[in-house]
Amino acid sequence: MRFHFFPAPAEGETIYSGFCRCAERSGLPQGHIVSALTGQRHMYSLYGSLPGYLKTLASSLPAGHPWTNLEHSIRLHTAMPYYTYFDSPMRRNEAVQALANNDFSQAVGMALGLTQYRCGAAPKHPRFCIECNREDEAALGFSYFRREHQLPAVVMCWNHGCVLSHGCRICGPYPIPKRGLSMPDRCFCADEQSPLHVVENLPGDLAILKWLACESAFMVSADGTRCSCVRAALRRQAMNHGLCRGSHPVYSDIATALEKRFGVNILNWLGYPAWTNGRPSAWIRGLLHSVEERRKPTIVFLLFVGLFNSSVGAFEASSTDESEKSRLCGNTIGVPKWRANLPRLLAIHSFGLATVAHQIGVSKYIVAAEARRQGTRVPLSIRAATRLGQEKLESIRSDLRAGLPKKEVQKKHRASEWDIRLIELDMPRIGDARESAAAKKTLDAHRQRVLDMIASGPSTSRSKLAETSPGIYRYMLAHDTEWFEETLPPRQREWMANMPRLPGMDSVQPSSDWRTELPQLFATYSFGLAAVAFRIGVSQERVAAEARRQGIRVPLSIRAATRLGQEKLESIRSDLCAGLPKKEVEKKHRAGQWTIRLIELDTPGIGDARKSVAAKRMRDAHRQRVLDMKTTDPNASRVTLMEASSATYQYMLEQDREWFEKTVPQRRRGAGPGKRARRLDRGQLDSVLAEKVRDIISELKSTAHRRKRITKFGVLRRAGGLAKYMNAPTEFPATKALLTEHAESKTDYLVRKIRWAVAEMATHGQAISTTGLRRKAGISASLLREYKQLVLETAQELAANVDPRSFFAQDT
Amino acid sequence: MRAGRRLQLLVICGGRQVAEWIDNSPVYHDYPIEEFRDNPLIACLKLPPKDFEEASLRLFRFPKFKESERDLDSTFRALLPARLTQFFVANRHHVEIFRHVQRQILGGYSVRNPMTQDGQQLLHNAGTPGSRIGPVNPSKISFVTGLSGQGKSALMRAIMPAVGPAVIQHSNFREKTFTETQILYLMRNVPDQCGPKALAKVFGDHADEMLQKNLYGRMFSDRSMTRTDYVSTLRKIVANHHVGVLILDEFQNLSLAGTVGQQELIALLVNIRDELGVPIILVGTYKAADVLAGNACTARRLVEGGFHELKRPMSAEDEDWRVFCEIAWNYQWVRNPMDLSEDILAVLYECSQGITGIMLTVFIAAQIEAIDSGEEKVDADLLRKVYCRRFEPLHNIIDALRRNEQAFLNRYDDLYMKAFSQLKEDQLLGRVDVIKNQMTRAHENQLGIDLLTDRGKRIPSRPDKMAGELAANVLSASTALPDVLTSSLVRRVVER
Repeated sequence: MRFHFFPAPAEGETIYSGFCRCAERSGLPQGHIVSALTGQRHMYSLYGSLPGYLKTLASSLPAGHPWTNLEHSIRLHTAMPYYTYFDSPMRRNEAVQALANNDFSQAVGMALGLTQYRCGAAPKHPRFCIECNREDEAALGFSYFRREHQLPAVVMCWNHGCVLSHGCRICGPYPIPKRGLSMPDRCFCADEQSPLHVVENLPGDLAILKWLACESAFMVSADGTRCSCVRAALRRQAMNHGLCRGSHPVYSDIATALEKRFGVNILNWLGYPAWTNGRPSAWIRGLLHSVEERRKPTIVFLLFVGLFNSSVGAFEASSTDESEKSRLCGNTIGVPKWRANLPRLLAIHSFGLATVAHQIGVSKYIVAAEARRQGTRVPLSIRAATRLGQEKLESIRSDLRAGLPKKEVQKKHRASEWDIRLIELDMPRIGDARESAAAKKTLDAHRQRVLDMIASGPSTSRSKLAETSPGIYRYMLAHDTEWFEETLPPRQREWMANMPRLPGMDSVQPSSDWRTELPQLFATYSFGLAAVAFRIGVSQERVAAEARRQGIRVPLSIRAATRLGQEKLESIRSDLCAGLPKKEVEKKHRAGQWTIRLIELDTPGIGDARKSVAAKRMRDAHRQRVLDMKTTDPNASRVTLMEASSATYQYMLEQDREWFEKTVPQRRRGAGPGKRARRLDRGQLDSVLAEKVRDIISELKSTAHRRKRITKFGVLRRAGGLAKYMNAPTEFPATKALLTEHAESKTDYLVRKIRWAVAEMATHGQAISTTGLRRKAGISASLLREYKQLVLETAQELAANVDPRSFFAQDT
Repeated sequence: MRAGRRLQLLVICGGRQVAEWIDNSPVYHDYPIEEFRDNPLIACLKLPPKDFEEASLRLFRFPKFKESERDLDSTFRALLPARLTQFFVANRHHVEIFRHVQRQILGGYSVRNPMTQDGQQLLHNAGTPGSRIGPVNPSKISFVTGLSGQGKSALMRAIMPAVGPAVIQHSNFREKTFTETQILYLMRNVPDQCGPKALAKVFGDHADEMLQKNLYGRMFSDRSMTRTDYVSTLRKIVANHHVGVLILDEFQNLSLAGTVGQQELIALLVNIRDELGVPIILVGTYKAADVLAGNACTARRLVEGGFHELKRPMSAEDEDWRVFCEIAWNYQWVRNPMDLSEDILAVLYECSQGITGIMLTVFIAAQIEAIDSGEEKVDADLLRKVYCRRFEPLHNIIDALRRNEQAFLNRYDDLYMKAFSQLKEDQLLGRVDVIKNQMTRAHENQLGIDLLTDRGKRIPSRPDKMAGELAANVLSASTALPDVLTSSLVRRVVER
């Protein structure tokens, strides 16, 4: 059933404030209002960092109230826009939906990383500005809690610059006990309230605190950043501010700059010191270094934004200028989409390949290759055209059109590969023309070789061609089969002609299952590669490759073995086993590639053995180069190696990383020697927390303090270390011991209360009566009856008078 | 709220349970006056009547009547004259009071516009003692008095629906959010143990009844609450629900309280009027006026908004009286209705001395007598006969009124109550009284005025057992009905 009324929210009014005004206006008890509107009685959930039970609230409010629209209430009346300001629009929406669909906002807060805010994601007590109150009273007729004042690290009013308050000096901080939902500036005091300031002494420069308040207010009122990648923008800004070496941020410089900008005191007060143990703090490194989209507290982003910009607005303006170009039709271009949008991206960036590559985050070679693939024309830049000269350009183009190989063109014109690539991109068809001309030239050359061979010996066969010029043979089979068939038809052997063939074999393509039947086929045809290949209808090379892949041993034919001779065979085998490159083996023994292949098939393990030996040899060679470099220069770093021998560096990273890490360990900039210290000094935290806990316990146990039960959670919450402790209780042994020692059960608490009340009454000379003791201790008479003996003992101990009319004086 | 009564009070409307007196889709009117413009509390009320005719038409309450009903059997017709108990005809004085009350309500709302800063300030500070509405406060306390039976309460019940619905649930006013519930009037009798605390509780409970929620009743049941808390809560209820007017009926009950109690209650009313700008209407007999006579200052404050005396017509020639009788005379369910003659007019005045309540009761009784006896006509003789035979307890009062004896009239209230309690002993008049009470209560339920009776009785939706007995008696005397119908009716009455 809907509630009969609820005040219309003012601009930026918090959900909690709406409840306060409702309670103030109606005079109804807070428990009644809270339970009627949220279905539960706990007020705490309303003024937390993110209010809970919004869904239930929306269904309980009167029809037409703006808060019945959950998205409206979350975006305009909670601090959600602040917490998600630097998130992508999609993540912002997800967070809003999560809060809208979840009564328990704590889970949503955890997901948003609110527990990571070292300065607290939200104040413990609702805050207000006295000046704002006055203005609101004058303009609206009432005052209210504004969300701009409830943000992390905000202790000043962004508008008036005065320190915020969170209660009354006499009545205590909001919510005032036994008053519950109070409007700001209202309490039990009959006269004007004396506000209780959030901080007595400002932690640092007033201007900085006001800047934080202003920017926080800006963020909570805005829709979120327009920058597509905040971290990238911040990195760029760091580069522009000279806080990077190359593209690497110099964290020590950034830490110094942060201290200079915000001051040591404020950073320490926020819980984000610039330096930890003499090194730049982890949060600084974490923000710029991190590539993944892991959430970081908004305050951390804000500090960085403040370091490079005068305001968040200025950051938005500058980052938008940069990122605007990377937006198309209102959509940010993501990395996966850049290929589809390349022509437009090139057009936006005036066909600057390097700029586009930088925007996308890939190399310019990849962009150039993609542009060539898509046939997109990239005009030659004026600079490049001037450098090369018109005459040279034309000459290169004509050579390329003529099909001259690129290498030759480069040599001939003393032009780089990139220049040639640029010229090709400038005239997209030139590459194709060059390729077709080159292909034609190659084709003619190969045909001429074949014709020459036929002319030299009319009995020339294909096998002879394959042995003498395997390259030409392969080329002919692959590219010019028709002409090859006509010019040099294959000679069928007698056994082949008589060989049974599968039905329809001539017309049908080789079936894919021949691979599975290969061992049987080999067995059937006595390991004759040519016979098997003919039987299947594929080339011998393919059959040989498949046999090698399957590890089938194909014994060397007697003919081949006789031709090579046993000695030569052994020698070849030993060379292969030694890992000698095939080319060298071929040269050394004047053996063809096919012969080597046949020997490998005859000895199946020899190929792998050769490969492993070759790999080992290559590894040793690279290692040796690294060691040589270390010998030459003991201070040589990885960068030195990369510059001196990029191939070795690459090989080491990809193939031999472990050894490389050991031999040339990675050096971190700014990092001192030794192991990285732990981010949190748990021991110190424990001692600090234990000290606080001890103070609180002694305060709670003091006679001056109102009786309150000492519980683990209560004490930790007061000490402000509940979250830290609960995250890792074992890391806080001292605190744990203290809590275990002093935490009270209900009975202990009752006993303590009764003893205290009796002592108080005895001190004031009052007789111990049931009513008096009940009132003093705040315990019901029925409970007191259960503790009669305790009361009597305590009274006797303190020599207090027991009222003879009271229950305690009676014998029953 | 008790479930039994709630079921009685609710009607199913469009799939939702909405009480008859609640308007949850108000229509906002445009007022041409600047002070009233952009004020949702005023815009949702009915526009003031243009002329006397429209005003009186709004106040008129005519019972149902069809000439074809005269053809019904006497068994049924005997039940119909009781409809006249809800008969109300407004005269010039009534219209004047109506206009005055409406002006008071509109004036009170004009300074409490929740769309303005002042209005919001009042809403949020209502519970704070000493907080005041702006410097100009047009709200006043008015006093409506007259003899018992003269129609003071009936007038108030006629005026309130003529101003607007009892409870208005706003949600949106001219594209602005306005999720408030407005209670136009809170009308209660002054409690017998009158004092600020009792009055606050009575109004708090009544607000709950009007809103159909258990909000404030729970607070008033908290025994730890002090008098200050009660009063503070009442102030908040009045301000928070934008109460248009507080009506305190039976103000003469104030005499039951001691001097201190009287003074406290009056001070509370004056404070509410001053600080919250709510007009207050006190309704009571001359005895209530006598209570105030002792303190001139208090009396002045309680009547500064107007002292409206509903005077009885001093002769049968009085124009208002003639109009009233002419209209009422049309409601005859006898087979042979007679035209209103000077003789009848004189007899009616003679029998009632211009007290409309008595006149209607005599007229009803005469009609029933005529139907029962089979004479089927009401003439001067029958009226006189019925008055002499059935209204004997009233004779002394009527005689005193006729002689205008001041000493006797000072005791009029007491005598009137006593006489009417004696009249109930008469079989026929007792039944008429029962039916009258039922119809009055049903009407008050519609208006949201009397939802919780003093005796906490369930409000029957149809005549109760006693009415059934009346029907049985009538049936037993009738020979005109067919046997089948008679037996079926008797069976139903017996079952009930």
